[in-house]
Amino acid sequence: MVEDILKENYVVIDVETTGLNTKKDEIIAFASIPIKEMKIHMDESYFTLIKPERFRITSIKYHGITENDLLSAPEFYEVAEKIENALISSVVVGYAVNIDVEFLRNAFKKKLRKKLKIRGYLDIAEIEHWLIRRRGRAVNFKLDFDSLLKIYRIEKFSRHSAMGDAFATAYIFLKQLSQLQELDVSPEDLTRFGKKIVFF
Amino acid sequence: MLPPSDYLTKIKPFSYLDEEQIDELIKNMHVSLYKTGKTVFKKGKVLDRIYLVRDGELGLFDGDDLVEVIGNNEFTGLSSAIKKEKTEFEGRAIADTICFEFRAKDIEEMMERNQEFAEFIEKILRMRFSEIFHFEEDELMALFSKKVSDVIFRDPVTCDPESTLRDVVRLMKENGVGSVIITNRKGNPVGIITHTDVIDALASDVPLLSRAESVMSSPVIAVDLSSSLLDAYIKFIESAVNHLAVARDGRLAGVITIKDLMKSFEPRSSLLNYPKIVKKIEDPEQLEDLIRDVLSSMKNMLRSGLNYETISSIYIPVFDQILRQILKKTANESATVAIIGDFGRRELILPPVYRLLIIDGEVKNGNFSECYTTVHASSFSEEKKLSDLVELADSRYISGSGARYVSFKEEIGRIVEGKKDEVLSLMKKELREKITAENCDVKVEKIARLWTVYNGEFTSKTTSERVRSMSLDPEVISLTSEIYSTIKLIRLREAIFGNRSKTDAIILKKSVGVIRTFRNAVREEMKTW
Repeated sequence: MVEDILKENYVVIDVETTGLNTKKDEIIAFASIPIKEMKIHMDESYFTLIKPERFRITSIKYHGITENDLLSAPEFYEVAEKIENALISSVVVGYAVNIDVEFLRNAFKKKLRKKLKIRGYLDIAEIEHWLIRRRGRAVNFKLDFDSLLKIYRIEKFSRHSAMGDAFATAYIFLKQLSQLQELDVSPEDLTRFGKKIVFF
Repeated sequence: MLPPSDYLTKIKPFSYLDEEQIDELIKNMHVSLYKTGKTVFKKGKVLDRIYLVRDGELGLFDGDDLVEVIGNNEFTGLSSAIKKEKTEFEGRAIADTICFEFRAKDIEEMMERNQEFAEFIEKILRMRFSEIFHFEEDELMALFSKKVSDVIFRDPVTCDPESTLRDVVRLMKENGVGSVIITNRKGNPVGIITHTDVIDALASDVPLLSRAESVMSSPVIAVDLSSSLLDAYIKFIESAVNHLAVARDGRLAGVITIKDLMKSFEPRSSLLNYPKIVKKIEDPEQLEDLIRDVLSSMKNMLRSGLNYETISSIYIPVFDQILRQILKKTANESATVAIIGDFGRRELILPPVYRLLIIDGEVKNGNFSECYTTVHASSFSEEKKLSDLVELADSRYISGSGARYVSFKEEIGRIVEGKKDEVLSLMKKELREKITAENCDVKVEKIARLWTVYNGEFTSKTTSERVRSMSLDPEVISLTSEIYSTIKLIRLREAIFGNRSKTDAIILKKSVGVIRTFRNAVREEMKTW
């Protein structure tokens, strides 16, 4: 573990799935963007569509991916190594990232009989919660993705695509990192409050 | 479509790119957050990325001096990244700042593929110190470069010279126009009768049955259909008329009125009112008011991207007119007057003090004498100091007998021509003198004047024109004339805003080097004389 949160390597991820059930539904798109030393590296970002085993797409209206798009996409086992490489040496960052991580773990387990190693993960909504409380205020509104976009004034980025959401998340996280550093937050602290899972 | 493309399509020059091209730039983009105080790039480096400030403030520093602030949606690093030049300044975040950073290589490739994008970037790169100028396409500049054919002009209403004043008035009424153009049998305009002419004629009891040609003013002042609005603007001011004929291939095609032009220029049309106001000046107080007005209109121009030559060509006619009006009040009838110095070269300086050359007659010292200094032609002879004689190369006729002016100027020209050796030693002396931030523009003026005079030309031209006609390395010439214009703009800004900005101070400091290079080039070239 590094001493300075700015020195840590992060990777922002976003996945699109056929539905919300982490056991039954499948990943159909994966996007990752690395952040190193306060720099978002679009040149090292990765995006792929993934052909599911069963076409049971209920969430087209959210991510705009159609069956047709997926017909020619690679299957999960073909891109698994790239996904693993994207995640392996970094702390994973996302919005509701525990769900994304759950999907990824299940996919590796079910399709490759392999345990996906994840160093740790951070949720930008949790970080925002912490930041707001730290400023001595209560969080009296729903801290969803749209309100995060509003707080950080980036409602203009195109939404509802894995890459679009990952970029917006990376942008928000960059600004959060800057605030966290000013508050002398250590990497340990960050992992502690950053991944607290909210049970619904 | 990649995430931040919506944002980029709204920002010049990215707005010239199509979606696919923007995506390609984004693919290799870095997005960095710089904490306050953090160095973004060092001075003296060749950058491999250009920096677009997405959020925050990036300062450009010369040592500890903050030279310029690059704010939201502005970019920097272009000239270093594209021209592979070392950065002249250090980039440091002065607030927490997020930059979108694009690869120089990608920008270059886009320049090859997209002409508009390339033109915009090249336009920026052509300017010295482009990093510290702000580039907003200025409304005013865009307006001035429009063509006469772009604004509404009316079909001409014409009549022949034999028509009567009554016919003309009826034509005006029937067609709802303020002017009628008198054409000869070939259809060429020979005169114009405007509303004002009609009123003047009737007021002085000219009978309604008089022939049009006895009432009309001539010649008809015309602009070409393809001229810029700036040309039309200057013609209106210079000639103090309200109607201009519009010509297409030398034939009458229409009429443009000052009102048409004003509509395009609203709300910046105040300059167009000056000819009328100037005519009414009776005392120094009115003059002072007018000049204050003129100067405040200049503020906008100085903030816009207009260059020194353009600003001069807009204002010199106004100041010429003011001078003619002053002379009406102060010069006696037999006076022939020319103007020398900066105004003689049609170069604007502030505060506006006219240097008058009185060739014949007298200009009274009185009410308006604070506006001008005078020298008398009678003091210019063979015995006069050569440097004073050479200065007359800048003289330009203002009022009185044109023939008298020309013969005087020719005479001085001959005297100077006979003293070429002295001109040369004057030049050598000039080249030995120290060049500083305070005198560098004057040095260019003197050197360029001596050069052209030595080469046998004794006519008034702007310094930039003279510099451009010198037989030196083209690179030195273009840089010198550009820097000269920049320095003159700085002088105007200083006079108008009352102080020198840090940016301007730095540009001046750096300009000295360019002017020295120019001087050295002149020295070298003179060895061959």
